[in-house]
Amino acid sequence: MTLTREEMFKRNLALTKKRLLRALENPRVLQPIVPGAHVINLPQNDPELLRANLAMAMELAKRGDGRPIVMIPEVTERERWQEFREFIVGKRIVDVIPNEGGTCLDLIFEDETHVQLRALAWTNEEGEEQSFIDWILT
Amino acid sequence: MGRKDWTENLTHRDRLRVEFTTRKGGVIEIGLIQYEAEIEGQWKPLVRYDMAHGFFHRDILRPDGTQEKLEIRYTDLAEGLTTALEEIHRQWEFYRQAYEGRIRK
Repeated sequence: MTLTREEMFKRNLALTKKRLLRALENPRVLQPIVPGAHVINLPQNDPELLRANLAMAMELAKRGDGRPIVMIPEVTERERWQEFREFIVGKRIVDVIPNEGGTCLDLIFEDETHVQLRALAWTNEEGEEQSFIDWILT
Repeated sequence: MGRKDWTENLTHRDRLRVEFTTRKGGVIEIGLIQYEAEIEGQWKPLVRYDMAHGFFHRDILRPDGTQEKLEIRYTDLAEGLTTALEEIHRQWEFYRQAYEGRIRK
């Protein structure tokens, strides 16, 4: 079955939204994107969209507007957590600023970089659901 | 302070232009989120979200060059970004049809 324009739009926009929000938390997400690039999502569990996106990449390559094409694989929650852990290793936190509703935290590091955390949840060793914000505050 | 800009390709005929302002590697401002569609063989910007003029706002762009501006309230970058992308998710077809309708008038 071929994806409709609407389905392709909505599924790609969902992947893009997830990645852009991650980029606010972890700027390293932006590293593979060279300035001016065409970015194409590579979904992990959506073969239909993957096929459509690869076809789109081929079309872009043929059209040849000279801009680089960057294909970015979807990141799972586990990989996302690993990525965040790697980012904060060795960094000293000098301030933690919650927003008014307590749904978001800004972590300020000694090197003046900062990370914004929102609703990042995981399961601890006892199998209990915890949110990242709870973990930071305890 | 730096800028990073690129294009998110959503379909063969729809894309988002994205620009983030960065400082020391971190994103400090949404420079641009712009939905563009290929209409009559040309890429046209239909709606734009940015922080120019000191506030986060949306511009609906018309074929005659005029635009409709609306301020968007937000508490942090993630909320602003989410608002913009969710509006595009809900309204993209409306923006495109409205633009095409104005071309035909």
